[in-house]
Amino acid sequence: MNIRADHGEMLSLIGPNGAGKTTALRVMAGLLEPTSGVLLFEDKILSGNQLLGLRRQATLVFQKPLIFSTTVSKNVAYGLRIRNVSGIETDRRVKEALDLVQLYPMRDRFARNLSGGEQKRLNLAMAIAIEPDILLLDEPTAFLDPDSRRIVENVLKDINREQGSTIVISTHDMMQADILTRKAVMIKDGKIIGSGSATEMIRDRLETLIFEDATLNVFSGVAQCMNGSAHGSRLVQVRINDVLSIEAITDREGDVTVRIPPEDIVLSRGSILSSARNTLRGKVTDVDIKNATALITVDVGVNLVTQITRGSLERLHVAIGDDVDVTFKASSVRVY
Amino acid sequence: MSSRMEEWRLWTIQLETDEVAYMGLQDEIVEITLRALSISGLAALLAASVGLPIGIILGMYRFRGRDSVTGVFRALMSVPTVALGLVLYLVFSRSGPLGFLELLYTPLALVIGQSILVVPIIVSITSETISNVDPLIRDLSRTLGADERAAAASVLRESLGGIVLALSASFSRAISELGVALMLGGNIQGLTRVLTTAIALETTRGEILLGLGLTVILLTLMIAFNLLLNQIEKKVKWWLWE
Amino acid sequence: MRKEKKMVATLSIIAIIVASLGYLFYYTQTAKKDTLVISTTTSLYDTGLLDEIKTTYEAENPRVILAFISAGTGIALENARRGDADLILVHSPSQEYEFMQEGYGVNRKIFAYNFFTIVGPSEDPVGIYNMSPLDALSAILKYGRTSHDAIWVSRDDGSGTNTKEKALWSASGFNYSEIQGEDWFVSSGSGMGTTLNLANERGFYTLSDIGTYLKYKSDGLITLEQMVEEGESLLNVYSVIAVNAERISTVKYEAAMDFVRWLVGESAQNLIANYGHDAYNASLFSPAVTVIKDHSPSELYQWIQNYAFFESGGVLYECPPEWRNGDYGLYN
Repeated sequence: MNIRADHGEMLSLIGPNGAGKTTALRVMAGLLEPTSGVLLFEDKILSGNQLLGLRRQATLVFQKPLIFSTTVSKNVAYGLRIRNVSGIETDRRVKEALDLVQLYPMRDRFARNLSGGEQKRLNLAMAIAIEPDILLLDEPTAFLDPDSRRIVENVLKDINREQGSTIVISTHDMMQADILTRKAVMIKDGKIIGSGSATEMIRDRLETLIFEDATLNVFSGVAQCMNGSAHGSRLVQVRINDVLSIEAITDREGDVTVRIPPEDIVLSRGSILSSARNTLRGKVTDVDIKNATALITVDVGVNLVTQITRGSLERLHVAIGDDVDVTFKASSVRVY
Repeated sequence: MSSRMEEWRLWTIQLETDEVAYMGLQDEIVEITLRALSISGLAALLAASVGLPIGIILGMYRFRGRDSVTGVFRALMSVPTVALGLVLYLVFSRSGPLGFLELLYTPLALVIGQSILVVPIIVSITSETISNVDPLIRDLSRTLGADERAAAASVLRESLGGIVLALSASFSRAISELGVALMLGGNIQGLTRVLTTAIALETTRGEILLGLGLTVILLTLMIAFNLLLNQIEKKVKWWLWE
Repeated sequence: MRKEKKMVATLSIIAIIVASLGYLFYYTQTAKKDTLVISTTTSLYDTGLLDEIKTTYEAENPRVILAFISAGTGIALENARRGDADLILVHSPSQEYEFMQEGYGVNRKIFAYNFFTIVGPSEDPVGIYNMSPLDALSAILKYGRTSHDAIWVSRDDGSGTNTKEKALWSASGFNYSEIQGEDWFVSSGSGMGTTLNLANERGFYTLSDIGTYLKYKSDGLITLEQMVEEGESLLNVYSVIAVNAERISTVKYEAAMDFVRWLVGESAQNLIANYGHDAYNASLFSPAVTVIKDHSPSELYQWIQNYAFFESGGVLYECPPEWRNGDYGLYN
């Protein structure tokens, strides 16, 4: 097994539970010494006490929320305290990190009293406050409510872009890997079974994925260019069936498979004004409540599943048979 | 007229002597209370200086025989105080192995006896709290840049509540136990008489109300002490994270 | 880490301060003072007489601390045998004899006496009022055996009072260990106060020392009445014995003998005679020194001699000559 992450890269480790993703991340974080093989950092083999040096530059966000029993802001300040960062600088970075994960208003709350999603965002803030060169995240969005999930995904994209941090995430969800990262490594039983572009890997496995019912909102259709330019990503119209066409951004044309992530679809009663290019109307055919989230199936010519929070569900009073609008951006549509 | 004056004079004398007796009693109760506090406080401190390191080692590290060691300490928590008192009496008695120290029937013997009594409590509660702290807390500290010592300190900080509980439980047990105080201290007035031995004595003497009063003092002290400790814990916690 | 270090330092400083304050407190209290450990029995200690003796003696002898350890007669003697006491104050002649014969005690002085009393419910179901003690016991036993009702409670704890009770039963012609198992006979296995409370609650008769009884009675804790007159068989004699320095080298023998001399001296004897007078309108103890010295009143002297003197070479002594050590003018 050989995993390589380049500077400023975003890399996904994809694999089912127990595949060895977490172990790989722990080795990369300098928390665990490899039982065989070596850990190279900037072309140097690291072992023993040198791991502390790596740990000062790399940090891992665990899958399970994990916090110290103190206030939110003191949790975030921990890594800075360890590094003897000055008080003013600490305050600045704590505020910045908490702002990013949208927890700043809760800075003086006792961290243990936060909800699960908030605790996970707090963990992310603790990691980004120390401005690590390498940010490792173990299943960063697993079991998260849609709001927290969106926040986490945006933060990761932002800091990769702005701070140039190398980011490695592990996930069991190929689709999520595709959303966040370009490069992906597939792991199974401690071995690499594939690597390369996440989008291409999904394309290769699409039929199996659909067959295994591993994904929602996957449709096949024909993509047709909407304006002149012939190269690179552009706006296309994808015709799914006789009654339904949607707009997407891709470099492909002809027969394609599209996927619309359920968490990217906004559900509303009556049409809303937005920059999103796709607004469809349909009837609710199914409401499936899972813990804090609800999956609503809407018939817009095909059955489209949207994911909303329980709170939104109660606010919207959506029931089977209601007419609703669904809205999503063209850039949210994944084209394979 | 003169006989009434005489009566009046006698009555005031009577009052004054009552007053003196009352003041003497009050002084003695204060003295007994202070003595109980300092003896048991010292015992708890002594026990903490021995028990905390043991408890921390047992809680932090996994090694062979660890379970048997914690098991023994747990069992020792339930040693009857009279039984421990008896054993220590035989040890500290002039004809016992440590008789040459001439400790029996001194406050120091009480301090030592009570601290032996409460060491298992400190060890057990401390090790249990520390081992109940999520082991990932140590990894959390490490991945945020802490070295091994700072990571261990984080685990301790997370166990603060349990450590404070261990200290308060040991002090409470020390100040409220009777067996060791009776066997090693001998309930000597002005030297080793503490609250519990005084309660026992006054009860057998038939001074039920006095015994009850001392009980109320003991309970009040314990409540006040634990409230104070809660405050201190909060302060310490705040300070540790500042 | 700096915080942790600072914290440990602060805690250690606090610990050191507390420890040294405690030591200072202890030191100022005991410095240059001789602590005289006196092993005594609970029934004597619980009367409060020894507190009074302690206060008076320590005021007169500021360099001495009297440390009374009160326990049952058995453990009190055991304490002395182990070298943990310098003196004993007890009231059990047979056990005292044994103790001295083993060589642990010297210079015994009888310093006080009083009478045990048989107490019972005021209705007096057996009708022993004003009987002689031995007749009273026989009557109680007879009543118990016919009615099968629990009627007598014994401390059964090996105490001086219990020893006396055994002697009384055998003087009445019964074997304590045999009647112990019978249904009218209750064992409390606890101290005098608890036993009196038990007798009071359940309407039993029992043998009590006069001190505890009067204390409980005057405090209104019990309504039991004294049933029998004072008699020779109820005599209770208190002795002081110094632990033999030749046997146990660590004892503070001279300080102990100073206290013995004081205890049998005039001021202490007066203190004993007057103790409890105000509270109970009755004396808890009577001084014994002049009775023995003057052989008067002669009947009482005879009783004490019969009950509490030790025989040596055909002669009765308060303390046989071979168990005396040093001349302190105690015997003449």
